[in-house]
Amino acid sequence: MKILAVCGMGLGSGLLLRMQAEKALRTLGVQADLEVADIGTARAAAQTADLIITSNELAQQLQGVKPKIVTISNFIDLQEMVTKLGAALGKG
Amino acid sequence: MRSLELAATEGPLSSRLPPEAIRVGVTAGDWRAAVRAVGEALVASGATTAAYTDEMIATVDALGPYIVIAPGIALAHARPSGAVRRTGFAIVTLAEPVAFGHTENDPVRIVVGLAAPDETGHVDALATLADFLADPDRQRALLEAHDPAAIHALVLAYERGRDDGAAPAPTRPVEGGGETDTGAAETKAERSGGIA
Repeated sequence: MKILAVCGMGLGSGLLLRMQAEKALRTLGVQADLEVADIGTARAAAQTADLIITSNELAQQLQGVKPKIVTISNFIDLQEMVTKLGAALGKG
Repeated sequence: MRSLELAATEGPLSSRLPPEAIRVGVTAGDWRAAVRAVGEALVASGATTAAYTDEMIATVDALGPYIVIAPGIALAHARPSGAVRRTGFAIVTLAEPVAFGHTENDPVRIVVGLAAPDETGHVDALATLADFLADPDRQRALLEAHDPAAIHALVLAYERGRDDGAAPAPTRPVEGGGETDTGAAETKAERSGGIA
């Protein structure tokens, strides 16, 4: 299982997504590799990913990629991440 | 206590967010003015040159308002560049909410500025800031603060409270033993996970 956190540049909001996803995966009891990609390299990185987490805005720029996309509105709300990741992973 | 000294030299959030990098009750007519204000705060603290402010604005122009990472909170930043002198954070609270064009998280009341000279040096401080802002009471206190010193004190108090809270934890085998920066972050992560 590889999860890709996608943001504009890979060092601001994408890092936040990765941090939150790490906590959420612990809560959910799921093991997965987490990587961060910026929007410019996300399409290539998505080819080996099972799931993408990103914002609504950036999700629209990723239409057509193979992995399922989970969109997060509030990047610092752990409950949203747990709920949405859980649902996407069949743990909801 | 060597590990604590080491953590201090690596720079907790409070040392990367000095009072000079904090502006309270700024009036901004639009998102550009709001990002410019946080850019000026980064410049004032010595973290960046003025060119970085333009780079942050160009980022939003190119990629859209995705930088509004939570209701009312924007995280402005650009790529590591020659305009970044060292890892730095800035906070601007706005007198009136400003629309950034985000479909869910507008309007913005708090603008955070981030300057990173590389891809890793800011990670721990960013995690601290995210956890600090995740609590509605702390967010409210930040918005109600009347001067930069008060916001800096809130951040310092949060760091100290978190470190104190982490101290009794090593009865459990937490990674890193709870003394290093990473260990404290792990303990805190579990704690906030438990609350949520």
